[in-house]
Amino acid sequence: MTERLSLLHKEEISVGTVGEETLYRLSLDKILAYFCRDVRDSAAFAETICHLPCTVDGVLYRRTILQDFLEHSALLQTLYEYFEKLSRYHEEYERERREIYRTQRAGGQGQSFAGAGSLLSMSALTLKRLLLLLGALDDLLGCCSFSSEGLRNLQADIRRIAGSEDTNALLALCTKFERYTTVGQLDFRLVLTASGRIGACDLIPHNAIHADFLPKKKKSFFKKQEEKRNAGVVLDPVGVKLQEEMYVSSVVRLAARFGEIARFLFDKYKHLGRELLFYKAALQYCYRLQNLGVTTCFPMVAAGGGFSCESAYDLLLLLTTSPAAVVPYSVTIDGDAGSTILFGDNSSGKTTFLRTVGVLQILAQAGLPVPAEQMTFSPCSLLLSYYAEAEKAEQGAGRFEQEVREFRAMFDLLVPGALVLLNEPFQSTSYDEGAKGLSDILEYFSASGIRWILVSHMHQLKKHVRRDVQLLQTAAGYKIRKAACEAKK
Amino acid sequence: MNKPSFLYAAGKQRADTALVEDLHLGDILPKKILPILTRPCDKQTILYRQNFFRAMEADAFYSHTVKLLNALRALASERYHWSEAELHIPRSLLHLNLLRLYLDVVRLLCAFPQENEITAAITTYWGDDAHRTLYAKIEQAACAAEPLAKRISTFDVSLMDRAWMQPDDGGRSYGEMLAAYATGLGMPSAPGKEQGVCLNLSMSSALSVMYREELAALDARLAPFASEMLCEPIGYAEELDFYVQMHKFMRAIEQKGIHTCFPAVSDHRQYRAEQVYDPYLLQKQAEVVPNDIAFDEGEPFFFLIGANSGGKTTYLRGAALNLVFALGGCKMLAARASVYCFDRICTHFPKDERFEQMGRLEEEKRRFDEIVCAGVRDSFVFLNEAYSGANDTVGAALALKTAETLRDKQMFGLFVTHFQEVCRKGIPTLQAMVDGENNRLYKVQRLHSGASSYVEDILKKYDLDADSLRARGNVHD
Repeated sequence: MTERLSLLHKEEISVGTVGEETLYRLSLDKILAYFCRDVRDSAAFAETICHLPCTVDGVLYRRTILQDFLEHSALLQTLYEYFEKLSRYHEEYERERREIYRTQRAGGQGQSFAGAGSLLSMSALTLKRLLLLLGALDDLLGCCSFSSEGLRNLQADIRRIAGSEDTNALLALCTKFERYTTVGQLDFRLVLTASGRIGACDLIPHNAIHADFLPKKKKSFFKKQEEKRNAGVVLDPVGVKLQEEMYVSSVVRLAARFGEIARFLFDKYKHLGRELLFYKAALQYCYRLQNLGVTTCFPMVAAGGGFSCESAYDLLLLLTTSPAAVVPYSVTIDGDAGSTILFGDNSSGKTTFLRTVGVLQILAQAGLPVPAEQMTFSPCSLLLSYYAEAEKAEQGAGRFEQEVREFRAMFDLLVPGALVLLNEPFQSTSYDEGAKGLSDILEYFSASGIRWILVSHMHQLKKHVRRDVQLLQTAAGYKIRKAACEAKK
Repeated sequence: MNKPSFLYAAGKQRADTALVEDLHLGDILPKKILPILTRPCDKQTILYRQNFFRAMEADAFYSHTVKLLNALRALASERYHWSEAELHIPRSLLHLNLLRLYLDVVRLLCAFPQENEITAAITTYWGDDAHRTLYAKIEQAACAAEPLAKRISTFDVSLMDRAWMQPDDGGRSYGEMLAAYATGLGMPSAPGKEQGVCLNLSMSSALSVMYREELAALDARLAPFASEMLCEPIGYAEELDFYVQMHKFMRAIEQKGIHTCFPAVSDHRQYRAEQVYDPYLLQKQAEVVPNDIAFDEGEPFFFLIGANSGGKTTYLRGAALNLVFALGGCKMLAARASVYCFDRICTHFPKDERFEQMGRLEEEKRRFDEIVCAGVRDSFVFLNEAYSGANDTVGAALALKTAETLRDKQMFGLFVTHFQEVCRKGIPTLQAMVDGENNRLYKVQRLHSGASSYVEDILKKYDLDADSLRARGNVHD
């Protein structure tokens, strides 16, 4: 398996940390459109923030790379172009390979003969181009000094390959076979399988064959015994069919070897072009924040489940109105409680609060700066959301049942350390019954180590939730304050 | 000691051929495992098979089983090739390979990573003195033959002006050079793909001349082991295939988010299951509504009525297929289930043949008579739209008579019918539900069932009520 070097993830990629529907609910798609106009860049950015690092080290790994790119902003563009070229070589190689196989399948034996030769030439040439490109990348990265672990790793990895003696030897073999012709290459090593079939047929250099077609002279007994052990034999004609099968098989195997090495290197690096798109979009985001003139910070990251922010702005409002018109939030959610309910009337800013917390959490966990004077957060292993929606035209379930079904689907995804954002759930039924049912679910979340933030106007919840749940209340001027507690335990 | 089977005991009796066809079993599972699956088993066999399936849920046990199955298949395949081989070199190498594969199979048979009743019996049999002695002899012969075979198997050929064959001198091929450089770059070396081209007479003869002494020594080592003695375990292949195919099928179902369970085996005559899915329908569409099943000694028979295309046949098929699975020792597509070991499962579905000897109705009556005449009390009969060719009055009367017959014979049954009259005769009846606007809900409920709290009901349905949450336990990694 190829050891993949990543500029996004220090550890193994954590899949599906944020669902696409959550990005949509938090309006991150709209936010993204404000600072990144390129469709490819923004798609890569969105995909990346769906797979967030879940550990403190993971967040810092990405953040320091971003800081390096902020320092060497021209390097990012050139690096991206090189990796784009690498991806293009890969696509060309796969396309040509498919084309040769297609022609081989369509044609007869002659086509197979010629196709094998073309495949070998093309594979050798591809590997040569790739090795030369890695050499150029080595020259580019060799000129810079980086503070981030990720870019230092990349620099060292490319150096190890481009500067190796084996690479020079490989380049020499590529040159030998890039203009391959059949003439003079009918020497093979055959290995039989356990079932007595020809399992492997490989091309060997002609100087490995020691043919002796001369008639044997009379020799001494001991000399004869020795020769008997090591001598070869003249072979009766093997027939055209077997000869062609051996030739095609050996050439295709050699082409496959060249291809394997090329694919190994492609697999090792091809994803980096797409990863760099994230940083391209991230730089645009950083520049846009600078232009808005609001205070930004790289948040403090710590394990433990807490969240706090000072003068944090809702990014969507910031981008769509003037910063002066946006009321910043300052809020602390204790790591031990890990659960908060914000009560409030309609249009009092509940959804904006939930969006602010969700967006800040995602951006901070993605390693990006945030529009706040100060922020501390803890990475979550999964970010899920539920937003009350209109009834869907679905058979066999009313609105409340549809809500319960969505909750049920959410349960199947839950892992400890998840953060769940809930916007006005269970309000499509009697409030008393809904509040009771919801509080059982919230209690289950808390008992399972899942942090949750709920916004609701269902005050009946206060009767059911535990005492350690933090209760907040919206106040005039879109402010947030502590709410009175009627909790049961 | 008799050779033990992975199936423990075969099912009680061969299933009715109509069962496979009516329930579309051949469309959802490989046909080769159906003869095993459709024979209802006794309680002990079901429990033993369940334990084997449970063990397969551990990756190590599953891969061991698959490895064994592949080794058994390879043994069977090589035995065939050996019997067909004509050239000396392939025949000798195949013979040695049969020895190797036999050793692999026996080693795997004796080393299951987890013990259960079935593996314990298998391990005991294959580890007894006679088998151990044979194993040791074969191992010794194979070890001695190995270097000879290795020497014979690698050689160089030049097909330039005149053809020449020579022993391999140990030099590197171009492919090996590439592999060595690639390893230097940190790339793991992978063996090239095997080709599998047959040797021809010319090469085999040249090899026989070049390696005359080695070949004679090889043949002498292999001669004492006839292929027949190496083929004793081959019959296990189809038994293990049953387990592997059923396991894969259930895993695919589980990956769709459908719950499965091993049913409890009840000593009381009953068939109860919660949230049962029809596997046939699941293959065709993603959204399938699960239903509950509850038959017991008190209510062993139900009519099922409801609107056309309302899910009646799906309910019946789901119930029947899951009963087949349960009685074959497999998992069911249900949240929870408890099943009695019925001796027989019968289906009575409409047939599309031309009824040349008698009318459709007569033919249907004859088929039903055949089912009841067998007189197997512990039978479960699934009837789908039987007597639909008759008019409403006659059809309903026949349906009621059928219910009466089954009750007299103390058989269990589910009868899907469109004769609405049957529900007025006091016989327990299920109904495929529709909503106020006549939309199909695909939910089957007892006629005149009581109502309960709306919110609580729905939460309970999705296991999100307080009790279910408590029972669920905390979220784990």
